[in-house]
Amino acid sequence: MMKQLIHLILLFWIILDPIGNVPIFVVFLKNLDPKRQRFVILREMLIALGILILFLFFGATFFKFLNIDTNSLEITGGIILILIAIPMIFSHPDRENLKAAKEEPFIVPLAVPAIAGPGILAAITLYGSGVEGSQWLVLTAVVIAWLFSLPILLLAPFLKKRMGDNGLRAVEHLFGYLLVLIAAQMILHGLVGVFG
Amino acid sequence: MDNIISIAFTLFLVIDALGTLPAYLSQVEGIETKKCLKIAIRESLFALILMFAFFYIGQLLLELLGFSRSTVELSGGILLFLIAIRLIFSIEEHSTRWKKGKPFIVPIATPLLAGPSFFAVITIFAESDIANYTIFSAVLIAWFASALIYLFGRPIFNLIGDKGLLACQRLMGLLIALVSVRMILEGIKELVRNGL
Repeated sequence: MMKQLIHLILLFWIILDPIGNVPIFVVFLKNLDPKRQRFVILREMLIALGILILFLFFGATFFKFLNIDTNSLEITGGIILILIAIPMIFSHPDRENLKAAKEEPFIVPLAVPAIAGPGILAAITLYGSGVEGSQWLVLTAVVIAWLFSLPILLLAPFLKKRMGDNGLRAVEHLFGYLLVLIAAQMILHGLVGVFG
Repeated sequence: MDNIISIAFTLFLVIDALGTLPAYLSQVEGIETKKCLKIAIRESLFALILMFAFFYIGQLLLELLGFSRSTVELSGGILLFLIAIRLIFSIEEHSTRWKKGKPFIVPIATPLLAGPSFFAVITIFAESDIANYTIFSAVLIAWFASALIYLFGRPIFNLIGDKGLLACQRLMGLLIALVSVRMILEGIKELVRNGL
C-alpha cells in the first residue's frame, strides 16, 4: 500500500515535470511583478489540480462512453509520453523559443497544457479507472505529487536564475529518460493486455 | 574479464566522447591550454561521480517505480537508437545547443559525458545479473578512455580535423545503432519469455 503510494507519487511527479515547466512559466510571467507572479502561479496550479481531479473521477466514465478500453488508453498515453520525452532529451529549440504574450496568462497555456497536459491526463484516467489500486489512493498520490511540484514552480524565476539555461536543460535530459521508461512500461502493459 | 571489456566498450560507445568533442571544444574555446586541462580533469571527475550516482539512482528508481527488465531494455534501446540515427545523419547540434559561459558540471560533466544515454545503459546493467564490481571496473575503463579523449581534445581535433571527426561520429553512430537494436531484441525476448 505504502509502496504503491510512493510509486504513484513518483510517477505522477515525473510526468507533471515541474522542472521542465520552469522555463515556460518564467517566459509567460516575466512581465508581471513578483507578487502577482506568485499569485498567478498558485491560481494556475489550483486550476490544473481541479482538472486533474476531474479526470481522475470522470475520465474513465467518459472514455467508456467513447468505447475506449484501458489497453488503448495505456498505449495511447505511452505514445504521447514518448513524443513528449523525445524533445526533452534532444531539446528541440521550438520548445524554448516560446513567444510570451503581453497579457497575463489565464488557464491556457500554464494550467493547460503545461501542467495538466495530455500525458498526465492519460495517466490519471488510467490509474483512476481502478486498474491498480483504489481511486482514493490515486487521488492522494496526485495531490502529493502536485504539492511537490508547487514549490518548484513558485520558485521558477529564482531556479531559472540559479541553475541557468544549461542547468535546467541538463536536468530535463535526465527526466526525459525517466519519462521514456514510464511510457515504455505503459505501452508494454497495454500490449500485453491486448495480446497476452 | 571478457565481460568487463565488452561492457566497457559498450559504455565507451554510449558516452560517445568523440561525438561530443566538438561541443566540449566550443565550451572551452578561448581558454588557455593549461586552464583548459584543469577544466577537463575537474569535469571528468564530476562525471565519474555522476556515473556511479546514476548506477545507484537507477537501481532505486527501478525499484520504486517497479519497471520490469524488458521495459528498461526496450526504452534504453529506443533511446540509443534515436541517438545513433542523429549521429549517423549528423543532425546532432551539440555545439550550438549549450550556452557558453563558465562550464561547471553542466554541460561538460553532464550531459556531455554522463548523459541520459549513459543513464539508460547503466540502469540496464544495474538491473541485470552482472556483478557490481564487474560493472564498476567497466565504468572506470570506459570513463578513463573518454576522459583521455577530452584531455587531448585539441590535439585530436587538430590531427583528424572536422571531416575526420565527422567520419568517426558516423562510424560510432553505426556501432551504437547495433548495440541499441541488440538491446531492443533482448527486451522483446525477455518480454515474451517472462512477461511484464
